[in-house]
Amino acid sequence: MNDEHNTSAPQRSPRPTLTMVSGALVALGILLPSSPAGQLVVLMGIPVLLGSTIIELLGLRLGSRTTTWLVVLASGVGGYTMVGGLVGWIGPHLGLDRPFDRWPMVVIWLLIVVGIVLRSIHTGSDALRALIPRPQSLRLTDLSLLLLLPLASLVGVWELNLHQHGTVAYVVCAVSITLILALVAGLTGWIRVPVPVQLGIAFLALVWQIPARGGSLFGIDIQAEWFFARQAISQASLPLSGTHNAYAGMLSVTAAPAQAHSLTGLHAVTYFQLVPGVFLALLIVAAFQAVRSFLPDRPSVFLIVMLAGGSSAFLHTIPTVPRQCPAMFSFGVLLLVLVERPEPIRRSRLLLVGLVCAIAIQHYSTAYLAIGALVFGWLGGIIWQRDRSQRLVSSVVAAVSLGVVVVWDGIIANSQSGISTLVTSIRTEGLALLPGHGSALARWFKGAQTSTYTTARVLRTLDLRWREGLKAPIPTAHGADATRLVNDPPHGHVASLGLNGTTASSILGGVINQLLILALLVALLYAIIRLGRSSRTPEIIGMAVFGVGLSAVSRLSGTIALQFSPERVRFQLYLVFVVVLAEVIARVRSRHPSWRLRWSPAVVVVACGMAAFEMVLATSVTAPLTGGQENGALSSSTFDFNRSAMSPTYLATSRWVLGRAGPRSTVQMEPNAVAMVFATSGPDRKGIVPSIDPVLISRFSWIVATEPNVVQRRAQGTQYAETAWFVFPKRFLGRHWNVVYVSSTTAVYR
Amino acid sequence: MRPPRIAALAVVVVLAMLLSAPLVRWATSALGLGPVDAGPAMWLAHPNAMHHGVPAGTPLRVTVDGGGGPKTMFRWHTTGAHTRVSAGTVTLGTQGRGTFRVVPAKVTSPSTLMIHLSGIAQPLAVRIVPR
Repeated sequence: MNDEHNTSAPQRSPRPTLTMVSGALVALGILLPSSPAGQLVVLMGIPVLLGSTIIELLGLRLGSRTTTWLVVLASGVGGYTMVGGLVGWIGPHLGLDRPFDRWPMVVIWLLIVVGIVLRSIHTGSDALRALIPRPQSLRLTDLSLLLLLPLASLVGVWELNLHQHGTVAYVVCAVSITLILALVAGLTGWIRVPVPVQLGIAFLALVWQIPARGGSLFGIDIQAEWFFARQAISQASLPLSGTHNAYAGMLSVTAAPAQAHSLTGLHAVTYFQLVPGVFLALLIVAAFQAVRSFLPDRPSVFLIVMLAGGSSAFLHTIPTVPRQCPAMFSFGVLLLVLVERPEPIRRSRLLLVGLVCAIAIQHYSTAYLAIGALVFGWLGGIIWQRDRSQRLVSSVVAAVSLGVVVVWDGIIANSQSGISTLVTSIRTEGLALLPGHGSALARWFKGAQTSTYTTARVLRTLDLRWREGLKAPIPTAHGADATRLVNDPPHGHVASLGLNGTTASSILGGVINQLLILALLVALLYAIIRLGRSSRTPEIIGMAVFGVGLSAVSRLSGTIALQFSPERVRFQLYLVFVVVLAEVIARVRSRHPSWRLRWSPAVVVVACGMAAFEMVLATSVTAPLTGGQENGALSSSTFDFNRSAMSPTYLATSRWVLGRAGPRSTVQMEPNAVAMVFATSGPDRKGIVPSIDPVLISRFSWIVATEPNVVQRRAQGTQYAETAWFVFPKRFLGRHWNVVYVSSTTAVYR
Repeated sequence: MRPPRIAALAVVVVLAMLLSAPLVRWATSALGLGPVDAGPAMWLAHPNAMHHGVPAGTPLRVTVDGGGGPKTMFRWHTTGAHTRVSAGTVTLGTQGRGTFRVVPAKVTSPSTLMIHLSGIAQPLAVRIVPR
């Protein structure tokens, strides 16, 4: 696709063969017994059929096949999720008590697929034809070989989970990074696969190393999302009963996996292990495609690598937050539409509103950021786009989008509680600007961290202070107050756990990130002062102004950082910035040819060096060679792994203890271990106390000890956003409680 | 894309849908990759197992599974906050499984029974069922 421009809108032919055959395959995939290929055909085929029909109905003329694929997939996934939401909500009112059961879903989707095919036959247009790449841009053998990389990534995860062998995982990581660097250097011309596809596959291999680590799902939020997905599957309708949690209102974690389960038998756990990674890879392709509108391939790849590698969220946090992945992809496509401005503009506006609807039902905080940015984009259009007919974000688009987000996320999904909690926190505690220790410069470099590290002694003081504030005293065991917490590791050096480590590489990484932020700010100023009305993307300049304000606040304010993950917020906003940066670089190059801003060999070496550094820092792939702290995605013996992994053994322990303790008993564990409760009973389970400091343990509590406690004899405690590690109080617990359950990595005290 | 090529591609996809499930099963088994198992109710990292909520005086049937194959003999004894100490040996049968009986003391219910096994080189599954 270099670049495989579509020369025309969907073509008319006597028989829309592709649509008919695809429809038949999807129908067969739904009806045949569950199989991996059938699941792939159905979960890929439905969004493609639906999305291509939507785009054809809108009559949009999209620039290239890559853009067409991205817009079709975003529309199709949004449509698939919306259909699920509608059926789940309306079904029970129409006498269909369990619309997410297999047969109602099969009938509904077969009707939709048959409808799409019949429409295609009636109009004689084959919407899928626009998606077929030209033979000279794609060789199936090359594509198949490249696809082995993400498959090897899954094998590496299995190897690590089952046998603790990290060789395959490390090799996959190294090969993926090498492929990315080869793309930056322009050395992959011999691979007859479009550059965006190569880039997407490399990132898919990297992202797929994360969510399945441990044997179940990796991360904390993902456990609660998995719980609500299982609830949607078992209750088979919406809204989910017995909860008012905002997670339950996000169709990306309820309707989408429930439909996939009904249609293909795909388990929710597999859905969350695989599908979000695909959206993230597509997001990278969408961002690349937006940047590529202004710059050649190699600098575009470089900017995207700096965006993904330089963000602490992309290769760590976001893959473990499945609700955000499809929403981020939709946001990436929204930016792409704003950049490419497909004609006719009026129809593009409809597409924009549709994408905002998709984001709103997929993830509320992405939607809040998107709508804030769009309002500023609307203002940007008013200021810098004189011709009203060319404004993509018109007043109607902004108003309807705002309405959709407010109605869905604020009223239906109950996510306004997050906003009201934030407002209350700001009222009571202020913004808590630049929290933490050290000089202002050091705190700026660190950003607003949600947790800082302290010693066990300080933690005990904080625990006692918290206990004093309780209305009812905790009935602690005899001698609890006489115990003392002992630092582990000794002297409280958390750097040995790979945290707060001030190494040369982390300092250099921080400096590169600050330079990038500086470049983004300069680019934005240039765009405002010099580009203004001559900009191709006036709306995106407005969105970037919003982004600067919000990312500064999220970097500075500890209060906001505690409510929303600041690195995820910043990653979304950086997507906007990188487009502005690309346009400014392109404009400067064209205005100042004497500056020789060329992709010369020296520039390639520097760019590859920076990209390699960022990717190595993000993945820790060289840790076994340098002796650094290994990444949880690549090793099972790290702090990172122990903090976030959820093994089947943990789940069995959690089910056992919650089943026996009953809903009224108090269950205590260290803070990270609360994820196992999220996975088995959801985040609304009362009576979970995230502490195993003896002064906070009730005599009547059940106490769950996890792998770090049982095997490494180390425990974690967090109070008032201060975290410390201490020696697990095994002797104290053994004196006052019985061990009532053991497994290879857990124990339960009662 | 011409119709014959589309037809050929469709046939390949249908075959993949029919054959992918057994193929994936075969490949994962050949590579030694299976689901990560939580194991039975109790896996022994340390050679002991606990059973909570044992009714007073109820005999328990303890089944030991795996751990070295047939003819392997283990010593066992019980302890616990509220149990009478008893001890014995168990020899695994041809299936690598052995069974013994434990009778907890008549104490206040619920009680906690701890069964210790010694001479174990590797994790071992233990199932405790009240009889």
